Amino acid sequence: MDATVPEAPAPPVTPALSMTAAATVQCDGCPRRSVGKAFWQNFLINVFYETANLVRGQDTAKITPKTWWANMEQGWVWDLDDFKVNQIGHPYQGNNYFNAGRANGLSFWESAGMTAFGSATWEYFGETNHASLNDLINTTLGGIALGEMFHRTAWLVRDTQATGGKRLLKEIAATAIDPITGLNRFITDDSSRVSAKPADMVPTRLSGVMSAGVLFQGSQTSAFDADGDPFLDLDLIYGEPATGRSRTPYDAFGVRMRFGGGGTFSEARVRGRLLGQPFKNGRFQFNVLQDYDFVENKAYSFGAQSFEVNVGYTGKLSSRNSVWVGGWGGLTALGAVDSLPLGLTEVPVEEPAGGEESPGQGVETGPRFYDYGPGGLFGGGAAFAHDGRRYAVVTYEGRHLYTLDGVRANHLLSRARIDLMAPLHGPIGIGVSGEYFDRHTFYQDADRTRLTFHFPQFRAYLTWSVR
Amino acid sequence: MRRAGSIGALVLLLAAMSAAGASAQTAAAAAAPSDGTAADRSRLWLVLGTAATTFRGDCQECEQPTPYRHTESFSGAIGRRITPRMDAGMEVMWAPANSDTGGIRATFIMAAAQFRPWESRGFLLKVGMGMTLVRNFVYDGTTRQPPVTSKALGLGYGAGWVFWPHSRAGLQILGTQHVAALGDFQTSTGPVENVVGNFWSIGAAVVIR
Repeated sequence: MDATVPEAPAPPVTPALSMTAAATVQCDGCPRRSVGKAFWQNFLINVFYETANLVRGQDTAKITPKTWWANMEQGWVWDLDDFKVNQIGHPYQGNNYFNAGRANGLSFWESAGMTAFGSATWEYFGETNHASLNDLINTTLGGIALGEMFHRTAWLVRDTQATGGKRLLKEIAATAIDPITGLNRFITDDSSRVSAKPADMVPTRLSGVMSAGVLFQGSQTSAFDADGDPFLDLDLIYGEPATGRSRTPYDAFGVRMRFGGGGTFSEARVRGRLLGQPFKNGRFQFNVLQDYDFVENKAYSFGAQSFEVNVGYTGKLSSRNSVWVGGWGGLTALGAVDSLPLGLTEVPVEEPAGGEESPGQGVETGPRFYDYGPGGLFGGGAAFAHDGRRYAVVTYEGRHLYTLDGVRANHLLSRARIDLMAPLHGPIGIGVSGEYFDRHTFYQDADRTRLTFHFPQFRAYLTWSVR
Repeated sequence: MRRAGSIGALVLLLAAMSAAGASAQTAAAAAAPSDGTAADRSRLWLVLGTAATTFRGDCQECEQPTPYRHTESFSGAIGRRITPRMDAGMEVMWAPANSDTGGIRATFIMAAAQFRPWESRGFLLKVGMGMTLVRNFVYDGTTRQPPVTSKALGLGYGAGWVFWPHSRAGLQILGTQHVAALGDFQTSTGPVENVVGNFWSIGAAVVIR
């Protein structure tokens, strides 16, 4: 070694990252990689949900080795559970499995595998019910979409450079969003250690709109309900979905959640970018997205786990005005839509069991008034912006669902929506939205009956934008 | 019995091929000054295997329990090594079953991925999702009628162990479950609704990656 060249100083290593730990930590603020811990926490999550069901007195929680064997002998079936349980409860549970992976240093794709593992073990061993195929798909795919979205959103809240009470409050708020990562950080003391934020958890850009107002819904029989429902919408755009080359899943995503509007929690929608590639000098953008959808209001219910290919064009209309135009198409791995058998016009009121023996608390015996099946999706839209702030958005989404479980029918669903917004003062604005949901159901009966349902919707609201 | 024997022979043959491939790889690596690391070589992922399969079609409204049938199945996958621990591509699994009155052929065509959580160990997990074609020759109880083909949602997952995970060729033993959600299944007395077929398999495969 040339004695005149001084040795480069060793990179600073924080005490918590010294020696062997450094080999399993990808960056200063990253969690320590441990596959074993991720599996173990997957098991603990199942124990937690199982215990919660036992405490609630659910008969489905009275598991024994006999019920495990019965479930394994039977294999997968479709279940008859409530729409909300299947379409949002299970994806939320899946998000916990996913984040057991993320919190222990696993990659997105490894955590996706962890979600499938957690879901399958829950279905076979966590309940007396036979393992449900729709739960496996919803928990796994929905859990991945919600999981990475919650994981990254929680990292937006954390301030890893702060100390004291302010730091603690932020860590608690992040734990409310992503409990598994939050708990792991408290257990390992990462919650109080000053470190850098993991670079891949810092978005290139962040924008959001909070809208609060009144929503009016209609149906075939009445144009609009006279009584409006109050609602609160949260829209978040993480990263820059319309631009850039990307090979990092969910480095850009969009999420919408609606509280109120015909239900306590009536809408959740996630569009997470799995792959992005610009072309034609960046004017066009090709994206592969993972979609999660949940809508349940007074008029209709719809949920889906899908993948889509999206091509968009961004151009300038003038020096301050821009437009984005896009089209998309893809596959729905599993969709659910409310549906009634021919001859019924509304969901019948459930009769009390009478003299019959009750099947047990939590045991659903049906009938179930929504259908499950795979299908295709397509759509297009345009968004107009002034100085980067959107003032008009028009979208159309079409879906086809081929029923595999439920009423023998094919469904063609269409949703058209227009949003008009104007700034009032600073981040405050005003907006109106019109939406039209239309469902054509093609029954597979001898007469090939076809029924059409329309559900218009109108909203007026105030907005608060963050850019 | 004969079927079990033939599967056993196939497994042994696959194991021998894999061992030969692995030893050839080791010899080549020893001869060359720079060994062929995963980063240097082709990213092709190829799997060819066979398994003993038990399957059963059932539905929630079916009053009569349906029998379990036992058969052999064959599977193949082609794709890309995404990372040293993960591979993804297309998988085809074919499970033919015969009875006195005909047979049922189930073909799963799926997008599939498998990964090893620990790089130094052989434990692997596998998932896939796609379509299943179920060709039913016995729907009317005879073999005189042309068979009916039903399309189904297909899903598969499994866990196993791969031997010589860092060699170009390896052998994996795998337990899998495949599910075919058919919707309607045609029989001589009419369609049976909401039928789900479950296929449990245990077998072995040669892996090139």
